[in-house]
Amino acid sequence: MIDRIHLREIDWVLTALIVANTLVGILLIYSASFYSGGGYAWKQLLWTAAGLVVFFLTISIDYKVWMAFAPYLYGLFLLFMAGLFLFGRTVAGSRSWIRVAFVGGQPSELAKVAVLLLLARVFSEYRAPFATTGMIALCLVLVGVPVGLILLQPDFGTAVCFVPILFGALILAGLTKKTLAVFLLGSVLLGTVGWNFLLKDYQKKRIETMIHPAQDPRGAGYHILQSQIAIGSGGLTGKGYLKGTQSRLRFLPARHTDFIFAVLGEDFGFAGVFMVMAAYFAMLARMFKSVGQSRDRSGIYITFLASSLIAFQFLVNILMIVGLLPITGIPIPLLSYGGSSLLATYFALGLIVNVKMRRFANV
Amino acid sequence: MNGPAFPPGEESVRKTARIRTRIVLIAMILWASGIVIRLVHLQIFYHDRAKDQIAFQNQAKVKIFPDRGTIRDRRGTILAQMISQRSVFYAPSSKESLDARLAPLQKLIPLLELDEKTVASIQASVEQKKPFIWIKRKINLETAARVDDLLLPGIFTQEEPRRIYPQGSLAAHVLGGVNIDNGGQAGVEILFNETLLGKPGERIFYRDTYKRPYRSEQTVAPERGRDIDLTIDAVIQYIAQREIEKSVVENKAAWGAVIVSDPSTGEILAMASAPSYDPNQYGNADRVARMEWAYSRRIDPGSTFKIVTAAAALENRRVATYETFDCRPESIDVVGGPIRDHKPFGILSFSEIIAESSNIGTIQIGRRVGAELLYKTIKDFGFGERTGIELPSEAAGVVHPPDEWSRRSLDSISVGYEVSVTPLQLLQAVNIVANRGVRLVPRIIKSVAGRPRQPQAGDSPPVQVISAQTAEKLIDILERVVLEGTGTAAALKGYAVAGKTGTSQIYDPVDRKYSLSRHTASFIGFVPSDKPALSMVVVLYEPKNSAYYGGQVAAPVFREIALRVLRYLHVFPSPTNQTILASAARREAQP
Repeated sequence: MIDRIHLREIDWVLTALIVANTLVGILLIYSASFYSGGGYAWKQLLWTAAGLVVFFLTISIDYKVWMAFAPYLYGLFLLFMAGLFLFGRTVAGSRSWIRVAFVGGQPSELAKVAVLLLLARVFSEYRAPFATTGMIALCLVLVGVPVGLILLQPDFGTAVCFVPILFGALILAGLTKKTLAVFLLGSVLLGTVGWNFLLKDYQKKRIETMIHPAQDPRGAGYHILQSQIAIGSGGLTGKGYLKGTQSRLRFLPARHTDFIFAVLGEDFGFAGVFMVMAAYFAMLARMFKSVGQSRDRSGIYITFLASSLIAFQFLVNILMIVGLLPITGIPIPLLSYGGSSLLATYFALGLIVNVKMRRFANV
Repeated sequence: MNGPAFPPGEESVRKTARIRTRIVLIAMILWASGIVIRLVHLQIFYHDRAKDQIAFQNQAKVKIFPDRGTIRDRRGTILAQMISQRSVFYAPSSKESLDARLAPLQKLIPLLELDEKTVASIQASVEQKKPFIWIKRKINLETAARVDDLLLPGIFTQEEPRRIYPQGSLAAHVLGGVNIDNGGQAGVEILFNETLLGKPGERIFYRDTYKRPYRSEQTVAPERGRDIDLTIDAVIQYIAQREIEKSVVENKAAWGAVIVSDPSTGEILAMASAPSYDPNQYGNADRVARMEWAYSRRIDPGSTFKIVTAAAALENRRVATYETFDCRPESIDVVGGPIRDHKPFGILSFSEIIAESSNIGTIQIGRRVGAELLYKTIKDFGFGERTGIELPSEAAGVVHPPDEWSRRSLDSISVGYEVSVTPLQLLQAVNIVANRGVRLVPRIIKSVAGRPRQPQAGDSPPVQVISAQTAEKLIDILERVVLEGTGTAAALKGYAVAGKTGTSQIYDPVDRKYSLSRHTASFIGFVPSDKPALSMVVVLYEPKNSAYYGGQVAAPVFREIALRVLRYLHVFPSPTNQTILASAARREAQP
């Protein structure tokens, strides 16, 4: 299954960066939750151990095999979603959680990787210089079906995470100016229609309050305001580890998951945020760098789409935390608490390392 | 083999991927730069405002009252001090149901013995969602510990020392009292509030999003107030207070006041008003009981004021002590109605006029002195203005200048009417005589924070008001008052006592005339007269028994107090003073 030569080619630097970022996440989760209990930091440590198992399992099997599995994973996910509508239990206002062997799992997280692999498989033998209309339509359908199901839950945050996968694939495949124009027009149209017909009232409210958070400080603007206050009060060097009052006093919502970055900003200030961002960017840069080192098209697509997925979630989350995007549930991969998110992330990262270590042909 | 092998002709795919990856990376860096700019804005420029907002939403500042300074008497006996107590308060969660918020109270009702009224008012506050509600203040430490042990949500106890007056009502009118927040309400407590108070500290309660305090931190340490030592002597105060209270009851007087001082320094050794109150319960004390009669109430002095008339006559050489006046008429014609004596007299010498307190004689002397000189002497004796003692709401009394006088005024004022004075001013006047003519400001503060009271800008310096010779002559006359005049009830075996009685009719503002049935009885004096160890003023307002003369009701109080205080001060009777011994023996032999 795995050759010694492959073992030698594992990107240990990237692996170390991944583990380092995970550990930073655990430290922050501890700060966010030690006061209110729940043992999230310890749980995350266990999830990390499980994640590393997933990681090494992922790299030990050739990515071609994983890609071959993609349709089954994809189908399994669609089945899951169907089952969810029949037996789903509602957690935090949406139905994305199901009980599997006493472990709360979020199949949507896995769906991201499944879709990414599926798209890589679709494009692996695609040799045209631009994505044709038929190809684009295929991509839209492949991504659209799970996204539609996820939106029905409704889980807007997770659904948005499929955008970088779709667009990553299309960017790599190449888009004509005409197609680009159609997409721009389409987004404007979708935005208008979506605002008026598709978005739920609470989602519209979130967008409104993002623009004017002070209008309703105790209501819809509460989370945005509290997050900004937390980060702002951290100042240049922060209040010190475990000293942040915003998280301990529960002013911050979802402080160990979606708002973990606000905890970072409060405890360690601008300096800490900058350092963590730098470490994260080092990891992202190394991930994107391996795109061009892939052996074949599928490798390029897998690496690029997985990197885009993680980078997108990271950047969008921070943008929400600093109050430049409406709040929606997107965790930061590796930093935020969440078992299924961590496992899915390690799966995706495993695929990147997998592709890179198998970059030499005929071995 | 360098670099991965790509299927032939497909190398361009990797090249395109690299270019596009680079574009994406650049886009990401731009994105991240936007975030960094935003972070700079939030964490550097918005920093102070964010901190303010945090403070606003999760901190509650509570003032910590410092321990008030201790008040002691001149010998170090503690008259007022702080003791540790705790107060229970409730900071209910704002997000729970009303029933859940009221639940913790139920367990406290039996423990804290809360009455229905209190419970109702607390419940009303809970319903109004007040963030901070006192449950019970100043409970003992054991009960507070039991409250803490219950670990009720939102129920906290806080150190809140209580002011106690271990001597009870002793010197109540000097000390005053404090309110529930330990703020001075009367007496030394209010006048020296700033000194005693110290500097309050500050404690910050951190509250979570449910408004529940979870931690508190002392940010500013409270600074203990400074101690004050009074000139009061607790023993003398006790004697004086007991005697005046006894006398007020016995004579059915409306109120009484006594002040004992050391005439050589002006220091007040005791100051008592009756009825009295317990300063531990200042808020609940009766309004009349709280009156500081001794220094804030004006009275018509009556005959005690004749000392001033006599001093004016002697100092200005208008009479000689041996000079005689015809006091045989039943009354003397005065504009607005004749003035009588309390009993018929014959031809009286100047000394006898004062000793026997003849109005007719004194009016003749007053006419010799004249308005201007009499007024000057009155002012020199300190009447009509505050003495400057360190007590709040001291009355100045009323003395009109001669150009406002009526044609009756000179005669009236000579015998102590048409002027109003405080008991303290009478004491100050008699101290001038005792002190051989030198006027000293009466003092009640011995030291603050261990430092003796420093002379202040507003202090009036000691003034020689009358000559020592005049004072000596007056002392001779005042001794005769006690020896054979109206004040024999003040005589003490073995001591030379100088004093003057006073009995004045009370002016009735409704009838606009002096009452024939209501009187103020008073006595001022000092002992021993050659080297005074103490001086005293005794006033009994409206004694309702048949005896109402100063010599009958006030002089005995002087004697009872002076007798005990002299012993206490180790001033022993002099066996060589035969005249006094004989006089006292003679008085005692009488029924």
